[in-house]
Amino acid sequence: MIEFTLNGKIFNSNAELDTPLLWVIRDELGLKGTKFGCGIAMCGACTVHFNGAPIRSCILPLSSIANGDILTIEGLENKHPLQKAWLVHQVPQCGYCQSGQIMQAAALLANNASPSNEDIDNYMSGNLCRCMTYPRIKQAIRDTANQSDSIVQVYDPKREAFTVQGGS
Amino acid sequence: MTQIVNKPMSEKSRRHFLIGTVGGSLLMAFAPTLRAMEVITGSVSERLAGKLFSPTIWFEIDNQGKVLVNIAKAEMGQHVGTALARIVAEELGADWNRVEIKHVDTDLKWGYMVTGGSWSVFQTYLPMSQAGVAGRTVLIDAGAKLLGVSRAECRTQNGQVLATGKSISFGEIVAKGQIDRVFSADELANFTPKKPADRQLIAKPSKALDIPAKINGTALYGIDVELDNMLYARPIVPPTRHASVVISVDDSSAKKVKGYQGYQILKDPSNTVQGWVTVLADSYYGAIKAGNALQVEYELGETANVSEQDIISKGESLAKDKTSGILVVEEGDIGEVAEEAHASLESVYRTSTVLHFTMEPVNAAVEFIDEICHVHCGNQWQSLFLPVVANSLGISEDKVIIHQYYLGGGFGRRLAGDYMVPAALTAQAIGRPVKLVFTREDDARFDCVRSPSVQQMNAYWDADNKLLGIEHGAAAGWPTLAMAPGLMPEGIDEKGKFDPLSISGADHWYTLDNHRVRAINNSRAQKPLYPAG
Repeated sequence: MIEFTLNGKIFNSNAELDTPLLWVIRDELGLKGTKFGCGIAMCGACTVHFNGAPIRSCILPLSSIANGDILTIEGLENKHPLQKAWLVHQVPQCGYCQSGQIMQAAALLANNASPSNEDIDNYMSGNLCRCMTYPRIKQAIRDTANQSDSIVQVYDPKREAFTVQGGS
Repeated sequence: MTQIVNKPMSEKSRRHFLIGTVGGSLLMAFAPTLRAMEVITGSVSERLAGKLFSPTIWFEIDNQGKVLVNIAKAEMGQHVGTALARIVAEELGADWNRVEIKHVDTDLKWGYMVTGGSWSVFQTYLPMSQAGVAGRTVLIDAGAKLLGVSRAECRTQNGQVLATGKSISFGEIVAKGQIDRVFSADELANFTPKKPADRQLIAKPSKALDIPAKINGTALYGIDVELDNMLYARPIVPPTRHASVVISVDDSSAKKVKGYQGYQILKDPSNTVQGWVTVLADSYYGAIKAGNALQVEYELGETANVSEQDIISKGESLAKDKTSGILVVEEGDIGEVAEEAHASLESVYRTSTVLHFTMEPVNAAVEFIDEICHVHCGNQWQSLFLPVVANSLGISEDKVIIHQYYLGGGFGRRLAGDYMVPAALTAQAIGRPVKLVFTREDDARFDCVRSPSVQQMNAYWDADNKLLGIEHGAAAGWPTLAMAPGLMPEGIDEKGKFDPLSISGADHWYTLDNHRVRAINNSRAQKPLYPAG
């Protein structure tokens, strides 16, 4: 049995130890916001945070997250500044990749509150969007990063809110 | 390709429009053309409440003023429901903040269901606008009466009927009024949409109604469906799409996978799936692993060794042969021009097989309830594949319902509904609900691809370098031939039918004195593939 924290709550899973975290999240715990796209960490649709870092849950075995802290799109509770920017910029089209896009972008801003265009491109390049919403994704990230003099409060409702100091 | 949907839409334009109070709401629906006597038999409200009608599109306003617009089009990234709802709301004069949409299932009352080709808004604008005008007319009539003013003084805006110094909300009108009204097809046809300058909603900035759910993880796609007591299935796709036959299956290794629940060799009278096996498990990861462990032996069909180059080579020879194909354009005499030309140019253009590669691998969940087969998935052409599912199961079409979800990408892939069939056959065989999901690899291997194509253009000039004419031959696998051959139109010389999707744009806007276009079916592409748009 593997114990871990999912969006602030403790869960136990009896799934086979090699089961990718994606299927535990989706089918055992019923959170469908994290998507299956490729199963080989090539598309980013399944991106969640593991101890604060973005990972591809489609290849991460359950055994490797013991006592870890997992955050999914549902864990942002519709309150993350990026989600507001996604709405303002009307980012999604079909929407299938967007949970992964938002989780990847959230990890970017948590580590780098004032990313350059190149930083954004580099950090987001592993998250594919077949509808080509990339320009709006980038604009939404930029707008969020530019809020309140490059200080981004990355909202995580289950943890103490923390502030990241940006450059310049 | 517009022929496919023009027919149902033109039928719609001949339909009556019913507006009546039902259960505290004001319901508005298109109804089939009825004889005059039938129209005056029974009130509209009775007919709407008793479902004595077969509407194709309807919307309703409840007594709180909320407007619900039913959407029979697939949402795959174009926010089509928002666009259609805004057309209705524009003419009603509704409060946009009180408008909601619902994506509906395949009940026959919604009419012919296909989404693609950029048709939805283009073809729905006029009938939906006219329906909105009819709704506004009724609301103003009722509102004017309640306000004690003449209807000429009234207009609608933001969900209210306004007169000088007075107003009443749609919700109040619905709550107080008993409305019962029929507009004939001719009356409806005489309604004209607002002039662009008068528009309050259309072409104004707005937020799409489907977006909030797509940024917080709550949007439901086909792959997110869960059915009580369901098993997970993964297809084991054969080496080629057509004519493969399963000889044997060895699941001795698969049995070691935890949660493995056996396999099914699918027998499909519709021939949609040929030589398919499905693997079952109590988790999808279990089904993936068991599928990898399964050993299947096949008898291969005749197309098993066709290569991309074989298809292209065949296309090249077909495009070069000036006698091949079906005539789509024939202006002047290109043969004569070719002989007299001072200069000429021959160019050959090739495209390779293209995968749609939707981010959401194709999938379907199926369960039988009271002998009705419920298919849950995202699809673009439900009206084409519902009969295919019925055929494959050996049941009648009225025993199949397809429930619609968001599509994790369409791009034409989900115009085909081939993926419903293995899910339905498996659920039928095991007597238990099944969710069948393609792995990414299987989704790519068995895409209904965009066909490889070869196009040859021959252009001719006179001594003054004036362009005399162009001959254009285009050889490819034809999606409409594969999916709906009955919808192919005749060529202009009536010597055969062609697929307009395969030659879209060749009948272009530029007038040439001498112009010939031939649409050519490349049988070497048609046979091994299942081409889709």
